[in-house]
Amino acid sequence: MTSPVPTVPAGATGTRGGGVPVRRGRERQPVSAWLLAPALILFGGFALVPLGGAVALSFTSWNGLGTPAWLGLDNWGAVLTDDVTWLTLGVTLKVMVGTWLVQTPLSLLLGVYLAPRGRWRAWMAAVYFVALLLSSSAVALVFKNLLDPNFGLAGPSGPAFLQHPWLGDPNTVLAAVILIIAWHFVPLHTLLYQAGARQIPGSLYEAAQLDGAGTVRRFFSITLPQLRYTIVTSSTLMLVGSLTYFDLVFVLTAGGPGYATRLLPLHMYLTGFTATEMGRASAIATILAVVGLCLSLGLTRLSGFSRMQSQQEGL
Amino acid sequence: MSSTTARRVRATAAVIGAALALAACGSGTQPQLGGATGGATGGGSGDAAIVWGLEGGQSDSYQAAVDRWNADHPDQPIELQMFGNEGYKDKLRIALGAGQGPDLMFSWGGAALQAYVDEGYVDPIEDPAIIDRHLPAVLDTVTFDGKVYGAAINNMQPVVILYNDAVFRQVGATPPTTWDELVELVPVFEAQGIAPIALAGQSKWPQLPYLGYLVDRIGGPEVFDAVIANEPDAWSHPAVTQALTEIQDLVEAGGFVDDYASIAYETGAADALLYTGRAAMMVVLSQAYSNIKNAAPDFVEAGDLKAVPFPAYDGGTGDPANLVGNPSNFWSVNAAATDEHKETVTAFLAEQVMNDEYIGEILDRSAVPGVTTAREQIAERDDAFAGLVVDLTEAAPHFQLSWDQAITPSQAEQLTTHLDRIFLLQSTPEEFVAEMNATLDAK
Repeated sequence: MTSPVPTVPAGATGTRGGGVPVRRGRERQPVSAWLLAPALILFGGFALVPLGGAVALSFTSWNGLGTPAWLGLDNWGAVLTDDVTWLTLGVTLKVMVGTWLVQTPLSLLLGVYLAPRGRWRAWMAAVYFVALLLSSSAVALVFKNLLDPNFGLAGPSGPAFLQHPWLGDPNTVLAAVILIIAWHFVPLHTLLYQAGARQIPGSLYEAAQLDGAGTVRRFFSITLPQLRYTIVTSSTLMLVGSLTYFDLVFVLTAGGPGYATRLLPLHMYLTGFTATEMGRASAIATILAVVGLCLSLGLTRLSGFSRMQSQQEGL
Repeated sequence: MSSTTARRVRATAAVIGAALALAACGSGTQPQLGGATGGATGGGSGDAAIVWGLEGGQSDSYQAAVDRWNADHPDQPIELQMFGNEGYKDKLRIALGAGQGPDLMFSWGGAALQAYVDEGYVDPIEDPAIIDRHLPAVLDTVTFDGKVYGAAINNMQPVVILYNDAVFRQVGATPPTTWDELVELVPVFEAQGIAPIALAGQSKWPQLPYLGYLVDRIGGPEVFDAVIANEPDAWSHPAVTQALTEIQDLVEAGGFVDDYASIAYETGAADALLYTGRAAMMVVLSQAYSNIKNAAPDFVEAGDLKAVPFPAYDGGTGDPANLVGNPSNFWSVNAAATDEHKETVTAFLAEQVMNDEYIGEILDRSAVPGVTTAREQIAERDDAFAGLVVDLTEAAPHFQLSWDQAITPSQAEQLTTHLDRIFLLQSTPEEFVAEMNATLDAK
């Protein structure tokens, strides 16, 4: 990055800062390519290269030691025909949908509630965001102990409605996991909605109030439409993010009982690092990456987020 | 482990709502998770040789041995880094693969260690002072192609039935000597509102001894030997199906504590069920005796914690004196270590591990190290549990290494998952056999 841009003649460099070179507008490209370099190097080094490595590994047999042996398409055949892969994909989808359904209304309402200025609200917001600062493993360990059916709150000494082996019953474990994930991540999305709600011009509410709109009407007619892109952003983070839940679930249930909470990323980890089949795990990782990519592209396209139209035209 | 365990169980109540306590708890337990959270303890000071150990009933001895060594050899420092059971194996493999392994690594022997040996990650131990002190059953676990790749660092851990004698006296029962007697005890304890057997099902591996022992009792050690040798359809032996059926019958009869599937071994809840009298028995590595002795000294002091071997099986062809468990845990020398560090850790093994002081500390915890040099001290002491372990191991015609250590990690992962589904009644013995036979083909 120390050398000057090579394609721009020496005499023209002076014009760069002035913004004059209308004619040279077409030659802008090499300049912007250089400016992209830091981002490209980071993205390439930490995203594309490992991704390529994973794709390459998915065609090999490797136990993490020694040299990978070329295997061809065997891993892909095995992964795609394995019932467990589809089962874990199903669990992942359930968590994805459940996560969205639980977190979106909660964080939307909390965010809108916390948006107006006021000491009490600021104090509450600060306390509430503490959950976000904790490490996922710590959150998982604490809930594991709290939900212990013998010595925790879910045990005989706890309140009656909690007395259930939440993490040991295949019928309740998924709901418990989704709620614990929500406890951990709702603060993040609340923060997004709080910021989004603060962007909404007060004049809209004033006008609506003069027209006689009540709180509920104002929420549905002003707040919700104005928060459209915030909802898209938050939903994308939630849905794509649920493809990466690993640490919390690993510590909480290790994917059990049976396959009840074996999410696709957890399945990848167990295949790669517990069963030491790195090739097969890489095939699963590639599937994960493709699913995540399709999901975020599809979401931004469907929602019109990529067009970036203003919600405040005419204001 | 168990002192922290007890603390954590007690902490549960105090933790509610206290956000700062959450954070503190998180950082305090992070090293326990090892690879899971990527949190290694300590950064490694200077040029110390690094030793990795696992939290457990005997882990105080590791630190004591390292401290003694460092006092005697300030110029050849050793640093001990401790990890929790969960995630340790993954961490070790990643570290070795990346060339970041410790100079001396904790292992279980068996197929997992053999994989490292085959790939040239582990150096043989040649010092006869270290090799010759081991009992044969212990040495077998770390001997590959006639060379020894590990030094025993703790005690022989056969799986036994630990039971709460106070609870047995309360219901007027005697500990089982046959599998049928064990099954008959289930309604006796159920009637009193006591769980017959405590089981840490979420950790999955505590379920393995049931299969290991039942298969051995019903069909003999040959059945699992065929699995280790990857003979086609080795899992199709009728003893396997019969053992799985017995397990499912016991589950259906209510043999295990109701919520066993949500109990993780590391939290100490299963141990606690036993010593608080809420469960009567536990089929578990003898190590649990030391854990409970640390966590509930009064209970053990009162003589209420007793043990019997896993029961015989009527009509089975296996010798009821056979054992399943871990003959020992080991320290192995990293082949990638510098010559200086190799010299340091080998001298450390010879000098400070399994010397009289070290053996004495292990015996203090009612555990029995698998070395001949312990004989004199064992004879001098009068410890019922240690005596039982010595008697069992000396009388055992066959001491089978825990199944998840004896087969490859890939097969072990399938085994623990499918056995979990057997315990949860989510699959049938026939499905289990088919799934496990497929892992043999894959080899």
